[in-house]
Amino acid sequence: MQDVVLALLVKAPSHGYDLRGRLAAALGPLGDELNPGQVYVTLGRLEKAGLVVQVREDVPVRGPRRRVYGVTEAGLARVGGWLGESAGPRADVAEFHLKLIAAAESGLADPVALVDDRRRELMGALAETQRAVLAYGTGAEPALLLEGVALRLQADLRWLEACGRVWAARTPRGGDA
Amino acid sequence: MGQLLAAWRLIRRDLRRHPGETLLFLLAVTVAATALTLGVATDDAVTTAYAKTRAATAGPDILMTTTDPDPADYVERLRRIPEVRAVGGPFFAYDTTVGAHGRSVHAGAEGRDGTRPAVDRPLVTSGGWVRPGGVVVERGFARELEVRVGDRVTVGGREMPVVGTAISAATGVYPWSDRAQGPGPSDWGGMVWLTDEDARALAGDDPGVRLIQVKLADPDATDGFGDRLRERGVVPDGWFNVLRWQNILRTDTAMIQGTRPTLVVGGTLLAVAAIVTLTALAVGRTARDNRRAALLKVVGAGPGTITAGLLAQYLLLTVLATALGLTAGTLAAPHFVDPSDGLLNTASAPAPGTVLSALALAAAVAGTGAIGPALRATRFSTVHALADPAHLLTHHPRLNAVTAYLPTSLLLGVRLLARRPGRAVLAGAGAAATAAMITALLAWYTALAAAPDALRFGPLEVRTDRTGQTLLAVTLTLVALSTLNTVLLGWSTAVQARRALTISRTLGATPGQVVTALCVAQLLPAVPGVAVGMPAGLGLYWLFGETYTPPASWLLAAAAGILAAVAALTALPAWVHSRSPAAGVLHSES
Amino acid sequence: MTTGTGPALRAVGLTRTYGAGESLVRAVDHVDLEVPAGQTLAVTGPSGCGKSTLLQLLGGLDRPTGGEVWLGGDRIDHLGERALARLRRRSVGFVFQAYHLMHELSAAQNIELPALLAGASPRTARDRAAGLLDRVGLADRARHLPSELSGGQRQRVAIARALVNDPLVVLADEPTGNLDTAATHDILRLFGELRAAGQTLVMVTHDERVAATADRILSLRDGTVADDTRPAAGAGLGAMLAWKD
Repeated sequence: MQDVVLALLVKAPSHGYDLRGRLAAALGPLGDELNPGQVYVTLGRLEKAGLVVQVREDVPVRGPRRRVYGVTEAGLARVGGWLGESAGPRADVAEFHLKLIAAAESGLADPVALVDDRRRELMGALAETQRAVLAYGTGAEPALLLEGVALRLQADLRWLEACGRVWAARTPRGGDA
Repeated sequence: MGQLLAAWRLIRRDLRRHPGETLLFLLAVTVAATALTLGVATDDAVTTAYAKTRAATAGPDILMTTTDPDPADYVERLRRIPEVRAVGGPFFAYDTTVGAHGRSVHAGAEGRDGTRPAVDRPLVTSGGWVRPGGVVVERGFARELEVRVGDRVTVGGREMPVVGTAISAATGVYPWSDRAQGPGPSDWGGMVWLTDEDARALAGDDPGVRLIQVKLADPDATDGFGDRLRERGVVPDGWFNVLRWQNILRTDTAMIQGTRPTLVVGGTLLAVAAIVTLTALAVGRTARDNRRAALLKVVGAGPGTITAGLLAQYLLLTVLATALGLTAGTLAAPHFVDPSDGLLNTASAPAPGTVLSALALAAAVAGTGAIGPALRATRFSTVHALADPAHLLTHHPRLNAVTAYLPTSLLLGVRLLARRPGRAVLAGAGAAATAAMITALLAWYTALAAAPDALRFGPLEVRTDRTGQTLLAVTLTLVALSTLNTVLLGWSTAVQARRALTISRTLGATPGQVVTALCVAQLLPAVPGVAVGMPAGLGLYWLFGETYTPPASWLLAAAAGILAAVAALTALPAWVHSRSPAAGVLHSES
Repeated sequence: MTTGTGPALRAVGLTRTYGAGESLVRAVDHVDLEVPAGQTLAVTGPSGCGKSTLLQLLGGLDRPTGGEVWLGGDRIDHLGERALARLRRRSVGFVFQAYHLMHELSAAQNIELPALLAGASPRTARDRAAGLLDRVGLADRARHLPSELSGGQRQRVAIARALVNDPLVVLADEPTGNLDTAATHDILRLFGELRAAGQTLVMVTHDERVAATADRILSLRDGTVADDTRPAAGAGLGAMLAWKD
C-alpha cells in the first residue's frame, strides 16, 4: 500500500482524495473495501518516515481543505527499489497489477519490461516445478501438490500474457518493432 | 525395394479398407469394357464363328442347286475344271414342312448316307448322324422348334424320331437355311437331314432338287464362278443356282443388323455412365487422397513416389477390369451374334484391335474419372490438406442475394449446387445417358408396334426378338449403373455438405428440409440432363433404325419416371445422413 | 547426426505472407533464429501468432516469401519439392497435434514407412521400428492400428515415426494439444529422454507447462519474436511455501 501510494505521487504531487479515486479506478470492484481513511493513514506514515512531504494546501470553493503531498529523494529511491525487486513466486495478482499501474504512472519503469521480467521469473519457477512433476510418478502425494503449484503458475503466466498485450498497446515504445 | 514394399502396403491396405469402392471401380470399368468389346467383337464374332464352322465341316466355297434329275455326269465334268479342287454330292433334297409341338415350319430335307463326302460334312453336335427312319435337325432350327434328340417330329406329315442335331456351313443360320428350294421366290425356313432313301420316299412325286457342293483351289476366287461355268458350257440340264460362301456369311451377319448398333451406342453410353461412377467415387476419395498425399509428403515421400503410388493403384484396377471386360465380352459375343445356334460358337481370343480399343476405353474412363483427381491430390498444398481436408469454399454473393427469398430447402439446395458445379455436370450427364437409352428403347417399341407382321411373327421374329433383348439388356445395365451413380452422388453430396447442413440443422432446419435440399441439388441438374438425353436418344435411334417417335405421353411418363427415381434415390442417403444427431457430426469433424 | 558446432537449424529474416494489398497477412515477419544442435526450443505465443507457420517453414513443408532457412549447414528455402522430400525424409521428423498417422497401417508399419521411403531395406526398417516401439514403450502394440490406440499411444507412435530416420531435428506442432494431463506427461518424459540423447527438438505449443520444459523459449507475437528466454532456475521450490508459525 505504501509503495503504491508513493509511486502514484512520483509524477506530480497530489492529495489523499485524488489518490483514493485513482486507486479505486485501478482496482474496480476489488477497491470497494478501500476506505478513505486508509489512504490518509498511509500518507501520514509516509510523511513520518520522511518519504513524502506536504508541498501546499488547496482550498476548494466547497468542501474540506486538501493537503497536497510530494515525494522526497528518499521516497523516490524507495519507489525505484520497489519497482525493481522481484515479486517472488507467490506474489498476488492485485499487487502486481498495482505495480504495473504505478510503474506507468510514475514513468520510473516500463510496465512491459516488468511483465517480461515477471514472465521469465515465473517461467523459471514453472520449469522447475514441471521437471519435478515429471520426475514423480502420477499418484504420489508430492506430485499432486506440484500439479497444483504448476497450474497456479500457468494461470499467472496466462494472465501476464494478457497484461503484456494491454500494456504493449498502451505504451508507445520508440521506433523498435 | 523398400519403396516398393511401402507402396504395395499402402495399396493393399487401401483396397482392403474400402472394398466397396474397389468393387464399384471394377464394376464400372468392366461394364464399359464389356459393352465395347461386344460392340467391336460382334462383327468379328460372326466371321470367326462362320470360319470355324466352315473349317470344322469342310464347308463349300460354292453351293449349287439344280433341277437336273441326274447330274452325276455333270459332277464328273465339274471335277475336271482346274480351279475346282473337290466336289461333294449330288445330294437329293426337297422342300417340305417339319412339325413339332403343334407347329409346322418350312424346311429343306436333304438326303444323305453314311459316307463322308469330300465337301460339306455337317458336324453332329448331339446324338448321331442320319439312319433309316431317323432325322437329324440343324441345331438352330432344332432350338427354334424346341426339339431334342429323342423327340419326335413330322417330316412331310410322317412322324420320325430326332436322332441328332448338326451344324453346317453350307447353309445360312435359321431362318435362312432352307436351301432345297427350286426356281421362284424363296421362303424362310430350316434344314433337316434324312437318309437318301427316306428323303426320296417322303418326297414322293416331288422331283426335288440336287445339291452340289464345290471346293475351289482358291476359296476367295468365287466371284463370277457361275459365269465362268456358263462360258465353258459346264452347265447341268435345267435350272441351276450358284451360291457363294460369302453370300451365306452376309446372310448370317444380317441376323445381327439390329443388335450391333445397339451394342456400340449402348457401349458408348455405358462408358459415359462409368465415367460418372468413377468421378463420383473420385469425389469421395479426393479428401482421402489429398490427406494421404500430404501425410506421405510429411514423412519424406517425393511427388514422384506419391504419384506412382496413387497411379499404380488405379492402373492395377483398370488393367484387371479391362481383362475382366474383355473376357466377358469375348465369351458373350458368340451368343449375341448367333441366336439360332447355327454356327460353331466356341469363344476365341479377341482380336488385337478389340484388345487395344478396350484398353484405350478403360484408360480413358479411368483417366478422366480417377487418375486426374489423384494427380491433383499430389499437387495439393500439404499444409492445407492436413489442416482442413477438401475445403474449396467459393463465395457467390450474388447467388446468395438472389436465393435469399427462396424457401429454406430450395435455398439450401441451390447453394449446395453452386458450391459443387462439377457434381451438377455429373448428375446431368448420368441422367442424360439414361434418358437417351430409355428413349431409344421406347422408339424401338413404337417401331415394333408399327412394323409389318412379317417382322413380328413367323421366322424373322427371331431376329426382332434378339434386337429387343439386346436393347433391353443394355438399357437395364445402364439403368442399374445410373441408379448406382445417383446413390453415389447423393451420398457424396451429403458427406461433403455434412458440415454445412448440420450447422443449418443446429440453426433450426428440419431433417425434412435438409433431405429436400439435397434432392433439389440433385434434381436441378437432372432436368436439363433428361431434356438433352431424350432428343439425343431419338436421334441415335433414327441414325440406325427407322424414324419412329414414341407418343408424347410415353416420353413424358419416362421423363417423370427418371426424375422421380433420381429424387427417391437421392432422398435415401440424405435421409440416412439426417438421421444421425447433429452433435455427432460436428464432433467427428475434428 | 552432426557433431559439428554449427547450428542444427538457422533462419535469417524469415518471412511468410499471405494475400496481397489490403488483406496482406504477415504470418511470419523477419524472424532470425539459431537452434544449436541438441537444444530443445519451445515456440509459444497466442493463437494466430504464426508459430505453426514458422515450424512449417523450418521443416520445408511451406516455402517462405523471403529470408533463408538453413538445415544442418544446407540452405533449403529454395529447394524444389523433390529435393525437399528427400531432405524431409533424411533430416526432419514431424510430430503433429492430430498425430497424422496413416490409419490403414499398423503402428509398426507407420514407423517403418519413412525408413522404407528413404530406401532402407525392409529388414532394416523392421528392426528400427521394433527398437523405437520399445523405446516409446509400445513394444506390445506393434500390430495395432492407430484406431485401436489411445491418443497418447498414437502420439508416441508418431514420435517414433519421426525418429526412424535418425533426423537432424524433430519438429513438433502442438504435440500435446489433443492429450490429457497424464498422456502429456508421458510425451514430455519422452522428449526429456530425447534431449538427454542429444536430439535437437523444436516444438510449437501454447501450453506454458510444456514450453517450460524446453531449454529455451521463443515467444512470438504477430509474426515477430517478442521474447527469447532460457528459463533460469528460480528461488528453488522451497520458496513456494511460506511457513507461517
